[in-house]
Amino acid sequence: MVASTTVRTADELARRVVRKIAPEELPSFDIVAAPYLESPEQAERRLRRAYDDPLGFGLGDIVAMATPVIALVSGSVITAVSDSVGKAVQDGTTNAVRKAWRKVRGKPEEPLELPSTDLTTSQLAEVRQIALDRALALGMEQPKAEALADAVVVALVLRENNRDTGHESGDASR
Amino acid sequence: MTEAKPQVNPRAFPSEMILLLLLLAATVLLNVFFVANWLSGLERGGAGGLLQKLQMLLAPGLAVYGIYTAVRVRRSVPLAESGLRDASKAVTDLVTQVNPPRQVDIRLGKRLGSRAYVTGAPRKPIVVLGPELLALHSMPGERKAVFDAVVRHELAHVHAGDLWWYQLATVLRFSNLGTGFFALLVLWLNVLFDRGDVTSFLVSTFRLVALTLLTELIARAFLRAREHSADLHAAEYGVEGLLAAVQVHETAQTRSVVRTWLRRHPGADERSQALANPMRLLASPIGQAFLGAAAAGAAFVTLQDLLLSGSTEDKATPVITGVVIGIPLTLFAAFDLWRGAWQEDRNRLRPLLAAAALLSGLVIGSHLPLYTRIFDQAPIGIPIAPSVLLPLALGCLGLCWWLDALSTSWRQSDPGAARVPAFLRFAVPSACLAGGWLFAVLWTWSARLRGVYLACPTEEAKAAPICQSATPQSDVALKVAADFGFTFWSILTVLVVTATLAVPHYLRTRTLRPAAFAVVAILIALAALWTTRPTAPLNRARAEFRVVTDSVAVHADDCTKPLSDNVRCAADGSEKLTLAPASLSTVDISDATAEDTTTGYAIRIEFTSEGRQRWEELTRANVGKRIAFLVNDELLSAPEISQPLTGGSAQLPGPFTTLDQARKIADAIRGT
Repeated sequence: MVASTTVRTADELARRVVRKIAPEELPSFDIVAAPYLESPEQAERRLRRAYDDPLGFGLGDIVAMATPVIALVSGSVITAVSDSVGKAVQDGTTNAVRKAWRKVRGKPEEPLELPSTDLTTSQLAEVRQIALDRALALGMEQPKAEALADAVVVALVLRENNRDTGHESGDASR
Repeated sequence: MTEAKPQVNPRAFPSEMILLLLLLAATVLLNVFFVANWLSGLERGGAGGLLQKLQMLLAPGLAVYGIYTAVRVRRSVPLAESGLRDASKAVTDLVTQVNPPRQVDIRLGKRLGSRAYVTGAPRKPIVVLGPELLALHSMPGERKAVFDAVVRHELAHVHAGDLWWYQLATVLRFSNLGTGFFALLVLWLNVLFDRGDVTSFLVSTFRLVALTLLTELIARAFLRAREHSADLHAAEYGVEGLLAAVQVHETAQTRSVVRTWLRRHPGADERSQALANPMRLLASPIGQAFLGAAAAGAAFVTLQDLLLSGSTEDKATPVITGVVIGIPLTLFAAFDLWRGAWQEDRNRLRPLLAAAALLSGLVIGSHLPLYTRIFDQAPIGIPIAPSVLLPLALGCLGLCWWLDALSTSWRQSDPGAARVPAFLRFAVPSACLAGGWLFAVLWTWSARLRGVYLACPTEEAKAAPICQSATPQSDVALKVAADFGFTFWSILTVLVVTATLAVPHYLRTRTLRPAAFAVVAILIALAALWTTRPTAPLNRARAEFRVVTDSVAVHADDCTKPLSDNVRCAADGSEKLTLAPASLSTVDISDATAEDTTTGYAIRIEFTSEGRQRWEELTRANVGKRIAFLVNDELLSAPEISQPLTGGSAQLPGPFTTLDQARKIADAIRGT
């Protein structure tokens, strides 16, 4: 069986998952998710670090929002899918020299973008496992992590026109 | 029906934060001043060297603070320009509610997650908030309460002017680190240029790191105290949100003691308990008493070393050092105990624990300073000897028990701490007197024994009586007891300590029993002091016998110039004598009388039994040499020893023109 995904970027995937499992965080999605989507490695390091800011509140992340974890999981999933389908993305984001040159010139890093891709059942299962492992590694509890992994798979195979209506048709090619 | 317990306001007591900041400032500045003095001493002939070195050591602290603040501000954007209008309005409402004394600039730190902090110049405070925290403002229930609580906590920092304190503490901290770095650099250069060995360098480095860490721990304790204060201020608008924010991390934030001490914020469980019961904050962690004592231990050695720069024979130095460091140390311990006395369910063993913290802190801290005149790996700190450690332990225990008894006694008549200023008016001067006297005695005791241990192995000092004694510890103890026992200050201290316990009790109960106990206690204490009275009067002139190692004929004018400690001029100014350290002294003399002999007026000295033995050994070992006889550092005569003198007395000539002159000197030696 094959499902064709219409999701192109991690931002898009993360937004769909947030809408599904943490809709109350949607209004602040852009500003909260941005650091985790732009530079996920740095953001993850910050997320894991126990901060002790002078004249701060002192307890690091005082509230566990779902958006950061979803954004990081989405980034990992998009990277994994792009690697698994063996297709290079737009301008070869693995080219470290080019990335560094863009950074020096002050140009924002272009996000990894998937072409329209067909995903097999085994690939979807693999994606679900990746999402589950990442969510657990980021400190999410097991039930929530499983819900997140399921939401990622659903978001990957859903049609894009659901965004406006908020309804999920489940119309996927199989 | 039970009577309601009076509420105690923690602000009625001297602020713990101020005490810690003063401790930090004193520790760092003394350290910086000492290293600056040491570095300027390495350069020859540089006028104003000390000021330059001070500038060199303090400037990095200011520069690093400025750069650090600029970087933190640069990473943020004004919240009003970020497009988050609702969040901006929510924060503005909270600012209006808290009403801080200065205008606050609210900014968004895009990469700050759910964190927040206050930064900027003290007159232009900036509150930087993370996007995840701002996102909470529109969420229902507990999340909105958490948002409000965290923002109020940050605004409480602004309200209390914490940026001033933080700026001062940061400059001190970085100055401390800079000082350690310069000292380490010089030590390393010393090794590179073959002026020191690697072992010495490693030991010195260890001490340096420990001393720097001690200061850093004090700074962190100060910052944690400020966070508690900010929590309490924020809790005035409602404690639920704050508790919710703190309790999220209650389990995760439980860390080891070391990590807890190194953090700038208290642990989540500690904050939660303090918010639930602010009275807990009256009892400071016992570790703070240890930090204060360790800093004082280091300061004892450092200050004495600085004072000794002028003269190595200054006997007043340990007393001055003991008083100057002992008084603040006592007050630090006193405020710690006094604050805790009003806490509910207070630990009855707290005076014992505080005494243990003082003892261990003083001993460990005194072994940390590096750059003393007795440089390197010499045992510069409090000697690890029973004769010093036991009185130190007893002194700390007695002091802590008395300080605690003062406050617990007062608490009975003032359970709500409404009259704390009145308590402090009599307790603080009393504590200064008792602590100053106690530490002057204990530090002198320690310094004298340390001096014996350091000096006696050297060739010059081997002939000194104390170095020949089989029981030097007892000798030093007896000497200290004789010097400090039955004196004005000791008697005054006993009277004050007893009166401060008895008088408030009498005023409260109107019974004469405490007064009777006080009189008995005073009599016992005075009797104990009386036994320490030396057998000879205290005001005896200092008589010494010293072997002459060299002599040169000089003109009389040469003797008007200042002489070093081991050189003296003859009474007629005809020769200059170089003298060995004293072999016999006043303690070896039992009596002195003036005599009219065929060759002139002289003084006959009668020795004690020990003195007689030493006199015999001295004359036997120095036949053919001259022995100088000095009274109060004035050379009276230097007769040659033609044969061993085995009698119990000696007749010594002097430059006396009348019998009355000789009699006056003899009376001075006898102390009559």
